[in-house]
Amino acid sequence: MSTAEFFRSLPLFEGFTDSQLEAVASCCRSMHTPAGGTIFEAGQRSTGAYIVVKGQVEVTLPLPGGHPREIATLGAGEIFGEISLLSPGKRAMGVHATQDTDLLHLEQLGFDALKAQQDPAAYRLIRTVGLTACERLRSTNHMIEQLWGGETAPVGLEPQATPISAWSRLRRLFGGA
Amino acid sequence: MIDMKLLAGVQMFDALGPNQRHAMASVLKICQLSPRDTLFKQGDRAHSCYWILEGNVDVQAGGEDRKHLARLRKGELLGEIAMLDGGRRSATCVGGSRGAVLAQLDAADFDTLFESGSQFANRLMEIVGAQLAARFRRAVTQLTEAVMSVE
Repeated sequence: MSTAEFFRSLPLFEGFTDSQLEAVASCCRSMHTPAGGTIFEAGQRSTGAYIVVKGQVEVTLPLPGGHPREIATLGAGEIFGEISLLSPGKRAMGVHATQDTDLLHLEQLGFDALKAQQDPAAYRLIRTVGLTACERLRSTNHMIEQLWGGETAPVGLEPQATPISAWSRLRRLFGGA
Repeated sequence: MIDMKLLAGVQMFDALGPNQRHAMASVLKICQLSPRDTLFKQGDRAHSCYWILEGNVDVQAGGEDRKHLARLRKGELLGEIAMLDGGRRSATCVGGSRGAVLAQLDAADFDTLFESGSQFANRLMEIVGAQLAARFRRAVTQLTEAVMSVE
């Protein structure tokens, strides 16, 4: 399957025309990260976004003086590092592969070139990535409120009747497994 | 259709060619705000964004105390995340001490412009994206603080 065909199968790229999918695909480079490998660390300069083709990655929040906290697990078809396409900067979180993982690296340079050409694909991508970022921002804000409020999630959202930890709730809100 | 002269001095409109500026003026609406009049409240559904053409707008945290967060001035854009996602307003906006004249763009009109490949809509989408990224980065910092506080 070509990269554009793979994109066609993802909800993320709903509404893109074939030529827009081709344009986005032209900015992507295939890569492989073995289980345990690092894709990027928090604090590194961003170089674009990643889409999981196969495998699984873990997103972690760095804690000063402590171990990073796992906040989401993402699998095939999901995007991460997308904030950098909206505004390049330093990575807020780290991402590591928890399985042998195939990825597409949507490179910042290629994306910037699309924007410079006023290619509609670039702006449609900003829109779709922006919607993902909106959802993740809302989840993060919700989690902050819960942590400050000391609330626990309502029981009944999970099969077990045990209290749900704030972290498992955040992970679910982030769309992780 | 609003008078295009009103848009002069707003950077995003000044950067447009005559055709684009005309297309914009045909979808914008003028919105007058008296001092302390509410434009929208925190928690309201968001359908529009606004440019300040005259006067100023005060941004306040919702709730009883209505804490003052910022004063926005001529040329500034507000409420732009509504162009992406019709979520809820994250703050309350009211007319400043001299009131304000605003140009209003509805999300539905933005969608039409965006689908037609308007350069203005593309630029606005970029601004919305950058704004969102800044908010996300602030939220991650706050999340870190919140986690540290409970451990």
